[in-house]
Amino acid sequence: MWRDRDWNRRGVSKAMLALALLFLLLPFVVVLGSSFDAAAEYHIDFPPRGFTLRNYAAIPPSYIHAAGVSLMVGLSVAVASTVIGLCAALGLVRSQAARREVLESFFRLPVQIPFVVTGAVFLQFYFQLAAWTGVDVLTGPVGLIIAHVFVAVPYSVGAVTAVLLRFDSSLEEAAESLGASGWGTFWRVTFPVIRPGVMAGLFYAFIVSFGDVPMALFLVTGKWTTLPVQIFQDMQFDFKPSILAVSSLIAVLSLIAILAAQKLAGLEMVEPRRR
Amino acid sequence: MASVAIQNVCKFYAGMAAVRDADLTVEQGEFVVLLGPSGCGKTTTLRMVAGFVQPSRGRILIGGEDVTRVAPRARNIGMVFQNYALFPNMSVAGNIAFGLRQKGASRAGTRARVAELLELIQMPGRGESLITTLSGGQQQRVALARALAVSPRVLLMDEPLGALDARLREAMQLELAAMQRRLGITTILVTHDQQEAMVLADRIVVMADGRIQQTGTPDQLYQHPSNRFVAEFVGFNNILAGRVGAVNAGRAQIVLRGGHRVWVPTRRQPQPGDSVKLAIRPQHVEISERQAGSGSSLSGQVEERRFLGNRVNYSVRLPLDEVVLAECPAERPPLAPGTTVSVSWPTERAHLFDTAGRALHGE
Amino acid sequence: MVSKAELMEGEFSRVLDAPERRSRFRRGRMVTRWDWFLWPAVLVSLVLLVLPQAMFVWLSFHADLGLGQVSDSLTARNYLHVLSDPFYRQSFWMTLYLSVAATGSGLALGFPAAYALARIGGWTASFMISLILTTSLVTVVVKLMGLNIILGSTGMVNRILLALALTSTPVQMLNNRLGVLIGLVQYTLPMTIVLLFGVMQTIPVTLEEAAATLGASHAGTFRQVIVPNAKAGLVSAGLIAFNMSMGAFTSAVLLGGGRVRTIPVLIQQMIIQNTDYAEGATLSTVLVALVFIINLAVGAAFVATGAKERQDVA
Repeated sequence: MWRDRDWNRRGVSKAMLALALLFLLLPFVVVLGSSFDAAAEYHIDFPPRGFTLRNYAAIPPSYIHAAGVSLMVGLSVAVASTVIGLCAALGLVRSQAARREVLESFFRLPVQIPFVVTGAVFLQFYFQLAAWTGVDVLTGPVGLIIAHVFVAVPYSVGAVTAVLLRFDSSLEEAAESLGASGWGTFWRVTFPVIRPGVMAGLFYAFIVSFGDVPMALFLVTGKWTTLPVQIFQDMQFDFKPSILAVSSLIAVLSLIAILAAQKLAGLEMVEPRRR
Repeated sequence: MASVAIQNVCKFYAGMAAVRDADLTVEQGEFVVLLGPSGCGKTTTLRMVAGFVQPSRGRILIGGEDVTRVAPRARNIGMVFQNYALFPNMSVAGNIAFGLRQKGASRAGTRARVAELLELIQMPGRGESLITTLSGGQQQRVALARALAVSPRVLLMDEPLGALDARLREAMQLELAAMQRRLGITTILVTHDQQEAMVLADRIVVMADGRIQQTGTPDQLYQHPSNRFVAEFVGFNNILAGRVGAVNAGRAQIVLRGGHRVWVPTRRQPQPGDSVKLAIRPQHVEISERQAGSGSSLSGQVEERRFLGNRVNYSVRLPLDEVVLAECPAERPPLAPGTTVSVSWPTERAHLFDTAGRALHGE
Repeated sequence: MVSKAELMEGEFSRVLDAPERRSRFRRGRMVTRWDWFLWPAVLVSLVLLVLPQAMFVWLSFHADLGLGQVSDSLTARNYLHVLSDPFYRQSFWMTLYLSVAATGSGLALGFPAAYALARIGGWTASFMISLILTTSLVTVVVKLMGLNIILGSTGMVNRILLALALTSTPVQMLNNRLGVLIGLVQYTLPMTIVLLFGVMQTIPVTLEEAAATLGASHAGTFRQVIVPNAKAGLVSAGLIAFNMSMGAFTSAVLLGGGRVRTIPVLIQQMIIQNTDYAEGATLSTVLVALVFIINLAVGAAFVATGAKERQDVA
């Protein structure tokens, strides 16, 4: 009922919370601020001195191209892993398969392997694949997409499973008793209810793919370089202020996308528990 | 043991008053129950005594000293929570000994005290049990033992029996009352169950809308409710609507909705024409088969008859759709539904309340 | 909320108790249909998981011949080399040390933060959790760039430290292990806080209130009541943070300036720069095995101490 704010002030813990929030949010603020810094060419510092949009204007086309690659790869990965994840989740929860826990752990496995290792593993695999069958997935984005799907499926499975477990199957039975076909029941009754979970899975799959560096570093080169890898490399070898601009754009657009996803797709990132 | 005094205490949350003008003194060794519906402020008041909530105004005194600004841990109180709040990571003995450990008691002394308390709650030898293996009733007793282990000067209980099933609850009520009498510890208990309050309390404090409505012994509250809320909350009461007809010294004639008139003793004089509510307890309502010729009495039709073992309840429908509940001993010859009956009651048993709910009755 | 066990039980009993033959047949058919969904997905995942990994591990048992070639014969030499060479050993130790330090720092900062969040509760806490989660969803390079600016010798942190006279010369926080450590904490902290937030919600406030009435101080309550009851969650969150740190690549490169050679960094170097594929494969396998073993060991140790503690005497 009433929150008793009066007792236990918890000052120390709240200070740690403030510190943690500051620690996590400050880099974004700094990048955003520095992207407008007029003196960014010479020396990056914060707070910015002088305001300019020059850094944004100077974004080279290679970044735009890389952004397009990342987007395309991300969307493909999201769709593919969601389809697979949806099937897997439906099968996991609904079927009478024995040893379900083993299968669940199995689906969680890809995430537990470091991305560096997965990248190396798939690189080797693709070499061998090319040697055996002549199919080359390394010159285009396909190799990367497959590898990303591999690590993204667990997120889809997890997200859909979570919603499916809460799903009341008597809804489906009611639909069937009213004469709906199996497929019809699925699309009109089941899917709308589990949609938030499916959307969450889509979303996370995209995020994982878009933000990945190690795997993309291994699996794509040249004109198929993804955006994070491009930034990664330029940060090490060829720093330009426009990198700040690009990063700021990514940060802001990501934030908007996350907010939109929460509102529109009805994502519930965290279940709030009212006291 | 200490007395507890709540003086002019108010608590406001965002412009809303959770507790207003609370004034109460609990004597040493007394068992006081705060009774009321949810949201009436009884739990907030208890938590102010415990120290989890700071009063917006007023003082709290324990044993004569002002503890309003003192932290809970320094008030030397014991508290039993609705969900027991037993520490899952400790055994029964660990829980009971917790308070003693904070004080730095010796190992031997602690062990002895724990054993003593296990005896008190009739769970000897269960010290090593895990909390999760205990039943609801057992958990409740361990919570009580834990609170009593450090010999607090006041015992506070927030709906401690709420989670128990009805039969267990009744048994625990009697045990609790006996234990409190034996230990003589000043106790304040919060509940919404008025039957529980009647069993346990030396005095009951009825609360509603953040205010104390009436304080008194169970008997006083039942026989002489000072306002309509108390009359309706404590025990069941029939409420009939009426208007004041004539007024005499110490009496008022009330015209009920069907036109029937009754005389009711009053302490405060109402004005003729005032709207009033008349309250009469079911066990004071007398019904009998209507004889021809008793034209002036209130009459109605028996609607329902409910047999309750040692007594029978009749629902009687009066003219203009009011219903009166009458309680009769089971030995009386039964009256079938549909029978026309005369309804009456002893004049001094009726209570009168004005539109604001204030009592007009009394001698 | 229906547990999965309940759900499966319910389905099963419905199959058994179905009164009409027709509905039972339909239910039987539906049950089989779900299997058709499951097995293709399993098959795909299996192919993607087992096949490449197996080949990779197989590769590690061959010798590098330079320029990306490997010998035809099996040998355990790579493993002997990786496990005995002081260079690799030092790298393993450093990776372990950094991961443990990052996990410890993350828990030390994240647990009180999660506790405060859980007790704040309501809309405010949900909002902050969303905020924290959001920071983890944006590409890591952006955050590392920000850290680069903040941690530099003339960056914000050093300016504050110098202004408060806590140090007389700028502290080196980039291109060294400290920088990588900070980067690892940045990487794992959001997940840690979110996980521990969930754990804290299972510990009701009334426990703290009860402890207070029994005379415990705030610190005493935290130590004796909250931490013991959060232990399982702390271990679990700690292991997750540890696993993430052991595999972290981007932070190590960008904040370590190429000088902090953790195992993930070495793996990438071996494979891309040196094309010593077998050696890279060996390093990878040892890393994954090491993380796996540590997880098992910690899990087992935790279960063992849990059993011992339940004999807690007053």
